[in-house]
Amino acid sequence: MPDNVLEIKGITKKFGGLTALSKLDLEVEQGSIHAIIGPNGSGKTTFFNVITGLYVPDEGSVIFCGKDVTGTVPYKMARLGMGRTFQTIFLFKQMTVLENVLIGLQSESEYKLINNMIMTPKRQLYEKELHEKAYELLAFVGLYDQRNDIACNLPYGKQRLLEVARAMGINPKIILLDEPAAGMNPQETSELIERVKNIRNKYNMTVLIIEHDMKLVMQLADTITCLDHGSVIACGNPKIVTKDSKVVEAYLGIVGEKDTIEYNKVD
Amino acid sequence: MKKIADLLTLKKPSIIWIIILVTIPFVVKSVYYLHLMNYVLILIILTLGLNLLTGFTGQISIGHAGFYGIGAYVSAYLSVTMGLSFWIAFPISGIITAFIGYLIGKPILKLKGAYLSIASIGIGEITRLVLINWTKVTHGAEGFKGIPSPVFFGIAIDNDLKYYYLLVPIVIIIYFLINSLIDSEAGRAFRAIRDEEIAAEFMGINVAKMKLMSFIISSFLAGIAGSLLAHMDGYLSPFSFSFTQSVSFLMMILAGGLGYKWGPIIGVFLLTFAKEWFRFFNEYQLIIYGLMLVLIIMFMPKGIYGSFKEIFLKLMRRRNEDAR
Repeated sequence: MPDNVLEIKGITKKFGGLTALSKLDLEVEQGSIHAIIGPNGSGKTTFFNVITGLYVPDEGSVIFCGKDVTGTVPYKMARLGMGRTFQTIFLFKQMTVLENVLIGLQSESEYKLINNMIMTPKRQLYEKELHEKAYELLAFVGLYDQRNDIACNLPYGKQRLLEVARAMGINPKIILLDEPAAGMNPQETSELIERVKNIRNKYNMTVLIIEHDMKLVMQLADTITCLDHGSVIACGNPKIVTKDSKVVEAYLGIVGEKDTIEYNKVD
Repeated sequence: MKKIADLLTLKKPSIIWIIILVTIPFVVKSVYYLHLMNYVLILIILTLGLNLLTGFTGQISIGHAGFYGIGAYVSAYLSVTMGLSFWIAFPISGIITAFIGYLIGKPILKLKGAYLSIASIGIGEITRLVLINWTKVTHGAEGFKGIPSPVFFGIAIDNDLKYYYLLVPIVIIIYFLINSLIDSEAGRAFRAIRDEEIAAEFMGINVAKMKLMSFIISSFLAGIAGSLLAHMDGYLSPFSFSFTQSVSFLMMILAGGLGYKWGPIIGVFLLTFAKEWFRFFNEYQLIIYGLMLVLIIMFMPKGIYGSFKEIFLKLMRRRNEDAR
């Protein structure tokens, strides 16, 4: 197993004249919690979409577990072990909470028609195993009691948790969380922090997380990468990155006196 | 012992329905109603497939009359022109229709939503025009005549009563297979695609393959339904596989309950019989029929079965809360 579960080398993605990502490099260490921050429109979600195969990058390559997977379609990426949640919630709305997680769990299935048309004892056993795994995941995110509810009837924060459980169902090596704390109250956020830590500690998944809530990021992340205008402006230890002048500038605009400004620009 | 008990309780309602289906001809003596009943059973086969595609996989097809027609004409051609028996023509017509479904589905399922529906209308229309104009094979506008009745171990299945007992087991088998498919993990994947295609893709589901699978199954069922129609009526007219017919299949599912296992069955029964009963109103028949459809869609957007199920579930929940 290489040290880096995910390596991004010089990714460029253009939409017409707009360069969403330019020559972006990133390494995600095995077993770490890696946060990606950056102002709105800095290309964070586009970056996720490129890694997971929704967009094919114009240049550069994505290396996942030592294998070049650039341009692999999303369902194959999922089967290779890349789970993700979405910034705008994409649950299976008309299905129950339990069924949502089961979809994640059956990601390896080949869907042979004959196996699916006749209920054999073997299949019953398989279904039972799937259900047990689903119950465990639902208990982990605290949705076990609502397992038979229709997914779209859940409150917003819980829908996010269900997305996390569903992504964990495919048993990924790396799980990509796109703003999991958006729409959560402080209580739910602090619970989420514990859960994300457990995703790493208990389930041994590497976590790549996009988040705006700096309190959450500071408590969770081992490494922070800050994006702005589609390229990395700072990467490393959280305490250093948040004090980096470029990061502060990207978030708050230019700070300080005239002399400092010029100094920053030259730098 | 417990296992047997479980099996019985599970299958009890189904057994009751099977008994009802088998005894209907003893109660309904009218040949006319029995003929209508046969027609209903054939349409149930077709709409079960269409419901899988539209109700569970979320891909709206308004061209299924085309597949219905292909199945009917293939079966007619095989049994009349090539002289094959019904028992060979019947499955082959399904397989050929499924294969045509595969050829058509592969490109057009890349389209989404309304674009797919429009493409499917095109497919239906192309099929109808081929049936009218390829006179060498289909006998064109004059129709395909003299399609033989099936023969079952020396017994010709040549009247409505006999045909009814040919259809009932076929419908029951297909009903169980389709429902088992819907309850399986493939069924879950179908529903996932219906609800959120992008998320389904990221959950490791090969969306294109699953959509195609659903399309092929539904065209197979439309094909064998067509074959059964051909051998029942003994005569085929290309004009009966029209756009209106495709729309009425969709209406049946919508009225019964789109995406419910019982939806197509209830819809087919209701719309077929209602249309006949409204003959009583003479020239107002179609107006009243249309009005009924509008009212169903307005007040029961989930269809008759769906709406009643919802009300029933709500009552059950209220009762549970009261008990607490």
